[in-house]
Amino acid sequence: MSVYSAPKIIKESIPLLTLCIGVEVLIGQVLNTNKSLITIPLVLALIPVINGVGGNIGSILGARLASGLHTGIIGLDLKGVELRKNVTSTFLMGVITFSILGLLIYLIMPVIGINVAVIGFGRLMMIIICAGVLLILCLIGISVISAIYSFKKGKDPDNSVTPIVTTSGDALGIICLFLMVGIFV
Amino acid sequence: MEVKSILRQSLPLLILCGVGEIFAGRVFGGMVHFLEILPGLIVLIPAIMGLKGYIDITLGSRLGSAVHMGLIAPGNIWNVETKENVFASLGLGIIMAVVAGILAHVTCIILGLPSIGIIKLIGIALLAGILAGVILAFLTIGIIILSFKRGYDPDNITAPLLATGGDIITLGCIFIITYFIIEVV
Repeated sequence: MSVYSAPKIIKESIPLLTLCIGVEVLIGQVLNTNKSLITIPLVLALIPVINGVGGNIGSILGARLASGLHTGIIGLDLKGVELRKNVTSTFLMGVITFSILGLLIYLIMPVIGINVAVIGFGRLMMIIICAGVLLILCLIGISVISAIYSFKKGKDPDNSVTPIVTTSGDALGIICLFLMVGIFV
Repeated sequence: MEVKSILRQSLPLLILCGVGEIFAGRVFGGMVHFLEILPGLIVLIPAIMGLKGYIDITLGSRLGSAVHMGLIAPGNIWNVETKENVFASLGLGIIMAVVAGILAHVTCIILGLPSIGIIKLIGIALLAGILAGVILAFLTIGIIILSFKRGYDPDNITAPLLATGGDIITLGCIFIITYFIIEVV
């Protein structure tokens, strides 16, 4: 008898996955109803960058909060130095990473065949940094609330924070990106 | 932990993942033409990419735990525990691809938006999902073998590698399958 069983894993995963797929399909519909934006290759190309990196940064904070709650370094009252340090470093991580990536996008995209001249360097940097920072601020809030909520409910935040943060990162990432493209282009 | 050392440890990997996402964005940006001639396809893309994340990162995470529990050992990696885990992921991929295709079509109808039809949407989700799922399952096992050889903890490397590699591979698979559907069907 094996420890893992495929039918058991499938049965346990279906409810959460169905919920996530529902949210992802709605994100797809947000893209679908913004026809004028998704005909610009550069806008499409920015989506995985914003969503992927936003999800990674949010997940790092989620994992750190979970460990902090488990070891008792972080309390449930939202006060304390340790939580503030984690939130500050996540915010700085967002600002630094998106600034460097904005520059790298401007340098790499033309080489691999995506036109960046349609938007230009200044506006591209403003879009990436503003969308990225707005996304990170939202994800910090979601990460802190979901980690503390699941810990209070007696559930392991390690299991809940990452799917919550990555799914909301996908949804909010596209909304932040479209918002900033709307403002700057 | 100090803000400075959190940043020093996280930033290099984040920026590396961001560069990977730029290449994923390149593939997505190249799909503008497909999205124009296949209405409804855009709705599927976040869903298929999200699926990959949940299914394959959880596979990596379960296999990592199995390594720690001594259920998978070097020299006997393709044993019954690995098989059950891989089959669970492939099975989940098939079930969820069908759910994604149905939801994408139904939401298009509810919103009064054009769709290429439920059969083609399920077909694209299934073929792209299975192709990406098989490639990513091999990649996950490869990462486990590599971490055995190097003495790494697989828990530290499967998630970021599968998240970024998964975005490039999944978008590539959607590209190939869509191209095939347009040319052949």
